[in-house]
Amino acid sequence: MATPSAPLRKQDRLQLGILVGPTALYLLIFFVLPLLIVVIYSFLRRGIYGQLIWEFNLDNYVRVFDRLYLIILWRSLLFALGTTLICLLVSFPFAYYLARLENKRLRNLLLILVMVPFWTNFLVRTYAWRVILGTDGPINGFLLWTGVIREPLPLIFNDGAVMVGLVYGYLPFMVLPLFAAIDRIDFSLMEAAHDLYANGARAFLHVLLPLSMPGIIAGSILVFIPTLGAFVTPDLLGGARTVMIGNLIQSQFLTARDWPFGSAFSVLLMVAVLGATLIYFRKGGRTL
Amino acid sequence: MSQPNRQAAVVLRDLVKEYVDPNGEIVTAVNSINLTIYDEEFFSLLGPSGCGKTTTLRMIAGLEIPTRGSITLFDEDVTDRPAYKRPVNTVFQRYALFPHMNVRDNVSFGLRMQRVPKSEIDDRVQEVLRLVRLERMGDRRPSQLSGGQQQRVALARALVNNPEVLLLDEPLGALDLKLRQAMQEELKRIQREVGICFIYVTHDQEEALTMSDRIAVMNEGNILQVDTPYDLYEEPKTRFVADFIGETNFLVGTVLENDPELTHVRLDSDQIAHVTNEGKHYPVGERVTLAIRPEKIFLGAGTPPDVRNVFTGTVRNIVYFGTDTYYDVELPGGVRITARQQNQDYTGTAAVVAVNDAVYVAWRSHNASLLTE
Ligand SMILES: Nc1ncnc2c1ncn2[C@@H]1O[C@H](COP(=O)(O)OP(=O)(O)OP(=O)(O)O)[C@@H](O)[C@H]1O
Ligand SMILES: [Mg+2]
Repeated sequence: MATPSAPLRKQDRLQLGILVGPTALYLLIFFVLPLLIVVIYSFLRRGIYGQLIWEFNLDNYVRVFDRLYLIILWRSLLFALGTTLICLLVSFPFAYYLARLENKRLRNLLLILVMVPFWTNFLVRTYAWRVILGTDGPINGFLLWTGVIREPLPLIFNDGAVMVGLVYGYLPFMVLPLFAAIDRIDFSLMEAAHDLYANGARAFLHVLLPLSMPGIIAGSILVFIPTLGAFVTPDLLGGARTVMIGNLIQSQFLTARDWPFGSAFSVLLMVAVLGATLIYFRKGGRTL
Repeated sequence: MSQPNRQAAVVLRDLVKEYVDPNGEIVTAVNSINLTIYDEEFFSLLGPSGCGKTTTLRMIAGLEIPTRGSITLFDEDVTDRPAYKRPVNTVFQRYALFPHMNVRDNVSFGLRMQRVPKSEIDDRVQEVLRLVRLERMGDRRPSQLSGGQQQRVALARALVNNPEVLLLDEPLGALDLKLRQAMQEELKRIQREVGICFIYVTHDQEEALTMSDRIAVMNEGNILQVDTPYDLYEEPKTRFVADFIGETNFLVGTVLENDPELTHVRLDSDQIAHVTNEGKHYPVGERVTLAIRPEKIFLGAGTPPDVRNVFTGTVRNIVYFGTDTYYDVELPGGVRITARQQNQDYTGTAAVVAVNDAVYVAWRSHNASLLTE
């Protein structure tokens, strides 16, 4: 439904400027300008010593489609999708339980616990996982002690460890929007469904799930986007082969000093994420 | 009133529902009720807020598990059956329409869950939408409908399943007066058309009186009286029922003696009142309450009509209500009585009776009820 936009009065325009102005200015300087720089760089060429050569060309974008890079892109996509899915499956029952909890104090306590990890730096928390999953870490220690295993399990420096780290890191971003969405649902609708011959499973499928969709979409986007570009977690917990796009871009900027190529990869990643998000929104309807 | 030719649709036996409140104390929402509701009957559960109407209805629907007792639907014990396996449907107080589905999908929900063939679903949905006069609204979302229309969708969504019993929890509570009255008639029409048992929860006594075949009056989890609207109004069995349904004057006194037809009562204000007793004799000396409806009292300044109960008093207040006028009369001994006179010819009464005038109040002995509790 389009509401006809009446021309703004002078006073309204002033008010709008005061309210939106500071944010708009901030975003312009610290978001739009850097983005513009990245886009421009992506069309430049790298000199022998890593300097920029101002020569517009599309070579960087052609190089991206190298088989090696496509494999990395594909792997990153799988990691991001897997993380999103696992986060969703783990979070849904928990968010549902939170939303239905009569005891509001317990509920607030649990919500705070979800946010507690944010009080510590992400890097530090990821290092903690190195300890937990390490060869002489508590998990292996316990299993050795009980005699279930003789040799320490290789729990770290592989894809599984990266997955654990990613799910751990981004779980709150799924729980919170899911909780917000489920909490808004009128649960007499579930009773109505039961009254209309739907058993638990069918009431979930036909009523609870569709009505939770805004939260599922928001949570999925909030998890999918950062995991797709993640580089700290695969760097610290992954093995030699566990390279994700984030690591690739990072190494282009810091190690290879090929800023134009790194920029091209960043731009491509952004376009891909934007596209995926748009498709996701379309599929989920205009529920958000 | 017994209805021997009708089958019992719902039978509640010693039904109890207890909740544990946050302080750990037990709240008895429904206190061992027994009730038989017949097929094709428009039956109302009437009572003040918190008396257990909704809880009773939800137990019949299967949305609440009884603490004790049993529920029988058409001779089948359904006490332990989950809601989705019971052949009853509910119209919820706030409609509970599915906001993510259009009207047609809302209405067809129950049929889809029962895996009714698609072609049959379409026909039945169309038919029930016609019944509630919403044929053209099938594609709309609930949010695009008025309150009255949403109400009809909720009704259609329940009725399309051909339930054996339809449960309605204050379905008209959210509508304004005019729409309410229109929907009352509409509901009666629909009930006659589909010919099933409706169990209707309301706290509005007028609504219950005008719509129901029979009414159960509830208070604090108990059923006080089950009767036709006529018997409930004319022959209330308890002070609570007399007070809750309509308006009533209560006069307290002691039984003096019983004739074959009349019981004579000495009121606490020392007048003697006479009440028909229908053969029932009250122990002499028992404390009783006389209940008399205001509209059954004659009032005037001249010669009183030839009836058994005639008292004199003083008008203390007059309230004009348009269709009728209320006169608040003080009898010797300080007892107050309210008389209601229809304003067929208002100037007549008003010209004669004014505040502080001496008047007679009079009523026929069969128009008062004797209450012992
Ligand atoms: N889930 C619950 N937990 C604790 N007490 C409850 C619960 N549901 C109902 N009650 C209590 O049971 C009693 C009956 O409630 P019920 O909802 O049946 O009343 P009602 O007659 O429908 O009232 P109203 O006209 O206000 O809807 C009330 O005292 C209520 O506080
Ligand atoms: Mg209620």
